[in-house]
Formats: sequence, structure tokens, C-alpha cells
Amino acid sequence: MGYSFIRPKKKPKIDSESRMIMLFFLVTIMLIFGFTTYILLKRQSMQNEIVSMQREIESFHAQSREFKKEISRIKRLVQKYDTISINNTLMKESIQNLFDLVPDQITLTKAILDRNGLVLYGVTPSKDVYNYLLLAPLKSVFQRNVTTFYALENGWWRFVSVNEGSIETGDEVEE
Amino acid sequence: MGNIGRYFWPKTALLFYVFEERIYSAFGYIEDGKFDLQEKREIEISKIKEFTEWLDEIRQTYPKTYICAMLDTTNQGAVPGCSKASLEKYGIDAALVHTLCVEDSWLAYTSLVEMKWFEQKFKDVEFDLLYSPFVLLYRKSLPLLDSEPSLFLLHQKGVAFLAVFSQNRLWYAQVLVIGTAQDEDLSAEGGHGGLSFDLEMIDEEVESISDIDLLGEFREEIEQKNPEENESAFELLEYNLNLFEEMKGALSRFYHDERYDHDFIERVTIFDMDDLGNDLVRYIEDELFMQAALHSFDPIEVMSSLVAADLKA
Repeated sequence: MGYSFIRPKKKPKIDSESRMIMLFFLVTIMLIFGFTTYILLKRQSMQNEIVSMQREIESFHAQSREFKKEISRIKRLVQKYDTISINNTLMKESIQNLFDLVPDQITLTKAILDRNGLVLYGVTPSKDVYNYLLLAPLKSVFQRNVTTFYALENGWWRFVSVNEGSIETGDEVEE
Repeated sequence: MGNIGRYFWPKTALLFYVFEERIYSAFGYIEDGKFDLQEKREIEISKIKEFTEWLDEIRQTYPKTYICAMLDTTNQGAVPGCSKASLEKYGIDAALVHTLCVEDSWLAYTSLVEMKWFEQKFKDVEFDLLYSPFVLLYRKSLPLLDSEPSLFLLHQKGVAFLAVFSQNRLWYAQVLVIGTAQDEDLSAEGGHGGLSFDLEMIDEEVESISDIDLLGEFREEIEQKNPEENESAFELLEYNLNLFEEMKGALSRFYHDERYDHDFIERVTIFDMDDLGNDLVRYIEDELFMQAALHSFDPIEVMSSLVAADLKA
């Protein structure tokens, strides 16, 4: 119940100066909130990025390990290839030398060169020709030499010479 | 929290009333249903600009400042009852007055024209609350009210607001305009009809009221004092007698006007904004055989409680 003849007029709650100050504070608070939110979002995004980058790094590490393995495998292959190539060259030279060793009097019918050694089949006019002209150089190459002679009707000798020992032979490339 | 509220969103009020060409004002905070007085100022009405400047200064600092004043016009009053019919019953044109129903029991009214005139007098002031002296008188009288009617008088220089109240009820109200010998002389000189009459004729037959030997034996004692003091003492005496006569007339109207309910009044309480002295109390006790008491009255103090109540609602 009022005691006045008139009703009080509505008043502004705050004056213009206070309104400005409040507006300033409001804007400042909003900026702070906005900036904080931005920082938090950025931080979250960076954390996600870090996690993703860590995964990527791990994946790169794995890939790197794979590549290193591959490289070392290839290196080994190259080394093997080189070794084989050298061996083959040596072998070629050895075979060339071997065939150079075979005298004209002796005729080879078959030659088997494998990992274990060299098996020669042939015909010699005499055991001595074989022993002096072929076996001597074979002995210098192989550690063990076993020769078996078979007499032919014409007086010549068929022989089978099995040579085992140090001679290196070319091999397939192993992975 | 209260201090923060006071700092950021203070609710304040400026209360004022005009008395003897001076504006008596007070400024304070309204908190917890109370008016917390901060500053009081007295400004001459001729320096009204000073008052409005102070008001502007307050409003700039405290935009939520309510301006409250006591309406000191004479064409106002109060009647029992709260309906339009009550006004008609006492011969008041409802179209010409602004009314306020108090306690759902009685109606305070004021002349619309005079209220506008008052607002116009302070045209730079936006009023929020305007109080009738009868409302202030009622508020001040509240602790003294009981079931029996009592007469209450709010006196300010030249005018008195008389009301008969009992608990939650108004029995009678009247504005008493108290003339002085000077006023009577002035009105007679003007001679514009109405209440004026030919003083020359009267002078021969009737003594001026100031010439009547009211003091009797006390005259000599008073005359021994300073002549200026004597003059003011006589003026006060005359003024008191006029007020007493007006009061008696009002009482007579209360007892004899059939439109009012009446009961025997034993108690008179005078609230004085001026400096009446105890003579009036003595007259009432000696001549009317009623208990009388005189209290000082500060409209600011009463308005403070009303403002707090009005703005809390």
C-alpha cells in the first residue's frame, strides 16, 4: 500500500559511467574467456596432433626399420652377388685353367663340376700320360684325387677322376 | 554484499519540504527497508537553482534516486471512507482532486491544480513521491492511536493540518489557515471583497485583537522586557489565540456536522514544525478541559519511514 499521491518513476539501475565500466569488464571477461577457450582448443588440437605425430613417428620408425632390413638384405645380396661373381670368375678361370691343363693326348668325354668337386670322364692313351700331364695339376687344385682306370680294347684307358677339395664353385644367390 | 549493492546499484532518496521560504532537504540511502540519512541541507527557495544543481549532482552519481516531497498546499484534506461517494458526501468534486486511499479506511485528497502548481514550482525536479501532510500526521500519530478518537494537529507557520484519528480510522480532517494581525491588515488594505471588510468602521467599534488585554496581570511583567521581544511575544500570543480559535471552530464543526460520526475527544496532540510554545497547550487544557501534548515534528524523519515503506513495496 502506498502513501504517496503519485507512483515512483522507473529508474535506470546504473548510470552511464558504470554502464561503460561494466561493458568494459564484460568485453574484457569475454575476451579472456574467448582467448582461454581458444588456447584450450588449440592445446587440445595440438595434443591430438602430438598423438597423431607420435603415431606417425612410430610408423616411420617401423618403416625405417623395414627399410634398414631391406637395405641390409640388399647389401648382403650385393655382397653375395659380388662373391658369386668373383667366385664364378675364379671358377671360369679355374675351368679355363683346368681345360688348359688337359693335354692333347687326353680326351675328356664328360666333366661334372659341382659343390663337392670335379668329376672327369675321359680317355687317355696311358696311365702315365694321365698321371703326369693331368693328375699333377689336379692335385695342385684339389685336396683329394681318386682316379679309376678301365682298360679299352685298343690299349687306351678310360678313366674316371673324382677330385674333392678346396675349389670353390659358383652357387645360386640365396636370399 | 550490502556494501557492494550500495556501491554499484545504490537506491537513494532526496526528501524535502518547504517551510518559511526555505527548502529543507535530506539525502540518504534506502537499504533494508530503512532510510540511511547521509546529508541534510537548507536552501533558500530564492536559490532554487542551487537546490536543482545539488539534485543533478546526486542524480549523476546515483541514477536511482527518488525525489520525495511534502505537499504543502492548503487546498487539500482528508475524508473518512475510500470511495468516490465519500468525496461527494463531503461536497468535494472528485474531478478536481487527486486522491489517495490510506489503510483502505480514509481518503487523502489534494487539489489537482495546486498539485500541478507545486510540481511547476519545482519544474526541474521530477517527483517520485508526494506526501500529504495528513499522511505524515497519520504516520507520526500511529504509535499514539487507540480505540478512542484523538485530535492531532500538525502545525507549520500559518497553517495547521487537523485530524481526528483512532486506530485505523479517520473521523475528521481540516486544514486550518491561521491569520495574524498583519495578515488581517494586509487583506483589509487590499479590499478585494471576499472576507475583507471595512476596517475604518470596525476600528471605531471593535478593538484590534492585538489591543485586547489578554495578559492581564502579566502585561507589566512582559513590558519590562525589551520592546522587540514584547512585540514578538504579543505576535506569538495572538497567533496562538488565532490557532486556538481555529481549532475550536474545527472541533465545533466536528461535533455539529451531521455528516461526520462523532465521539467525545479527550486528547489533543500537537506536532509543531515551528516554535509555538506551551501557551496553546495551556489554553486547550484550561479552556477545553482536554489533555494536550506538544511535540516537535520533523517531516524529513516521517518521510524517511514512508519512503522506505513505499519503495520497498
